[in-house]
Amino acid sequence: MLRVGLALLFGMLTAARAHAQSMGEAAGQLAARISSPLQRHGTVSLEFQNLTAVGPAESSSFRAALQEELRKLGLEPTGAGQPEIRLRVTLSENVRGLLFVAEVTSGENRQVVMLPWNRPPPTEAKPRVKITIEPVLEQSEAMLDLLLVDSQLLALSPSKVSSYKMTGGKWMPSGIAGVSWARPLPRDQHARMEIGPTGFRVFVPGTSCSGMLEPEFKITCEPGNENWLFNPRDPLLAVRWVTDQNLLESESAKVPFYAAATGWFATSEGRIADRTGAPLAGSDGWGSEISSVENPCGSGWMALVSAAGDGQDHDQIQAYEVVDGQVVAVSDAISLPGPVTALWPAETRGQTTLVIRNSKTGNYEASRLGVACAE
Amino acid sequence: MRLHAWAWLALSSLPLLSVAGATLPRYGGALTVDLSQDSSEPVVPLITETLVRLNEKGEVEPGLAVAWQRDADRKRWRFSLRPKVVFHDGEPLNGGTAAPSLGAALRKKYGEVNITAGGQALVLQFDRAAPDLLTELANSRMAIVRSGEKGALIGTGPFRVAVWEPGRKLALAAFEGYWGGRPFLDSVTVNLGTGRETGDVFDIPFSQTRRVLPERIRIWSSPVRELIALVSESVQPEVWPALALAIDRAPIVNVLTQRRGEAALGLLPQWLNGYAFLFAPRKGTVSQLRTAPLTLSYPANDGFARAVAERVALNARDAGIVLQPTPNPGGAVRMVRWALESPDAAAELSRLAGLLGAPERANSLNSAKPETWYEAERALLDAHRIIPLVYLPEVYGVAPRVHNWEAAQKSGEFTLHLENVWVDP
Repeated sequence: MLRVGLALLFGMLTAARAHAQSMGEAAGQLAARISSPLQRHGTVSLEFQNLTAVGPAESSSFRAALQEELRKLGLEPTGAGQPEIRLRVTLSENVRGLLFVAEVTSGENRQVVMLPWNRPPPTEAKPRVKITIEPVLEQSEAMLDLLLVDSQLLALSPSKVSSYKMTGGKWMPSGIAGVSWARPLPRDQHARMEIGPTGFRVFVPGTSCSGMLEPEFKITCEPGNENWLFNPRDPLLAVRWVTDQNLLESESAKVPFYAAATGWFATSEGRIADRTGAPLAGSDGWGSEISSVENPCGSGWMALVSAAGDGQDHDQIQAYEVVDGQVVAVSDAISLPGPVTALWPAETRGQTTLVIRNSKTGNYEASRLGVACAE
Repeated sequence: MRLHAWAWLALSSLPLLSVAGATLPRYGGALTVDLSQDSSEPVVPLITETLVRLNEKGEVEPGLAVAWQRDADRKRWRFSLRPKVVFHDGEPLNGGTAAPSLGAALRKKYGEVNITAGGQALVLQFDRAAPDLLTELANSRMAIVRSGEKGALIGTGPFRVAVWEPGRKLALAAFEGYWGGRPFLDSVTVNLGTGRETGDVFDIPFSQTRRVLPERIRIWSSPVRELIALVSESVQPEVWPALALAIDRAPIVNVLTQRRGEAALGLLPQWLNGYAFLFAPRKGTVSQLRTAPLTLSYPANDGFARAVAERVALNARDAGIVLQPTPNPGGAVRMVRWALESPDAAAELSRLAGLLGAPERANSLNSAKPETWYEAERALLDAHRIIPLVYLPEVYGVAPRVHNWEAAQKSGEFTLHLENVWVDP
């Protein structure tokens, strides 16, 4: 559930091994179910077909594992002569996942054995990374923001704030404070946490809240949209939510916007513009999730930017600078296994909070992005 | 009430749906939908909601109920209703406001049901076991509604009815107080029975004629969801297998559906059950029978059904069977169009068994065991009362200004989902 670690490349080598193990386990279970109704041991011919997108290598591996499991159960696969049992195994799938279908024919008897199999979702290998990613939390419920305050990590969800303490190198749950918003959250949920005078503040469209960690972990909310700093380390941009929407407004911008970075706004009109509404040339590929971070290779700020489009399966993050009104990519794009659902400047210098919804698992994965100067 | 003896089935709140992609959705705007049919059924779930929902895998999830429990006999069920939900007229959702419509719908299905409402709780007491209750409750027939003036439909869904002209037009407005967050669209106008292609979204029914669509319209097809089949209760036993063997589904799929349909070998499509390939017909010689002419009734005013009927009649001749297609009902053989209602294979088989007059075939269905589905489906096919022909998808044209359409339609409810759709100005 929780994990903490060093900066990792997206994609873990262990995933492929875990996947192979699970298919081997499936072979064992299927062999047991095939042999169960048979009254005797004997030779068996095996016909195999694959109706799924499972690759040939994995499919062959499964077949080999199945043959081995059948052999252990006294059913000797044979390729010649008259087998006593004919077995046709189909790797199929239905709306719920993989389905192994075995047609077992012995004499005049024909039986059908099925084994549903929800295999673990494969973790996709990702290319090289210039921007570092430190995974922090993963959960099925949406995560809207993270905040590190007084050595505690706070995670904001649609119905609560959860606190974690570092124990033995892991973030361990230490408390939950339920939240009652003044209004329903917008359908496209965005929210912000910042360090406040009594502990922390939470801002959602239509509601502003104050929270404390001690002596009691609790949060109280009032209706209304208070101003807050879009980037806690940049006092120049105070913003407030628009009630019931996913938009921000500010005295510093002419039109409502989704997010801001380095003086540029992802506007509700679907473009990147400056405070007067003038578009930023070369920003066509920018999505609406943008955030600023200190430039590690020079002075000033740079923008971390998601990709444009309606993509539900993948997204990406890339770092840009705007030099003399021109957009310059300063990092390679990091592919992400799901759409970015939150991208906020973190309370810690040089860091950004990223939340994605993994399109394979459906889980929300929160990370901290760092930007290091490339060698 | 001995709560400790009950099995807790669910205790979670449905997370509010997040649809964020890299380009965030835009609030506002109006969407126009043109439907060729004159029924508003496909959009009713935008207005009303049910206690539970089915996700796209056919699994039950919380809806207006956040938790439920039952006794071991499955006769007594207790539901905890979601707090802070209001109807479109401002009335809060509670046991008292939910019970009337739910009770009426349950009695149609189960006969006598005793409902006790208290606060945010509803307790249902059935005379007999109701093992399929959760799947039934996910059906829009079981929606929690109230009737307004002149019978107007008042629900808790993301849209409220603004204008309702039966058979012609349904205008919906965003419900600002929706518990799941206001929908992105300000309004939706559904024009019924138009057959036009001028809306932002329009359905494309199957017909014999190829249509030239407006420029830049993208086509969206659902997974196949409708079964076209022949049924009969009166045909002689030797005729049915011969007719089944004689029918060539390839021209129906390739020509009549323009490759959008799929050959139907069993009752459920492969994507739903995963074993439909087992019903592939064994090759054999078509028997030569000499039968008296049989009438084949197809749905009236349905050009596609008529074309399929004519194709089937042509094939039947190869087996010496004379089928006479007619739009008049009451034929010895009937063509039926049965739409799937959910991605729950066991529930769908149970429903189809009822339609085939053999509900007892569904008695041993277990939603977690595909083998029981197969056995029930095999038995229904072997009873020689139905010959599946083709499965059809739903097809829509979608204008380029419409966003998030494809993702929004991923649901266990086979209806139009517009709550997460947004549009360019």
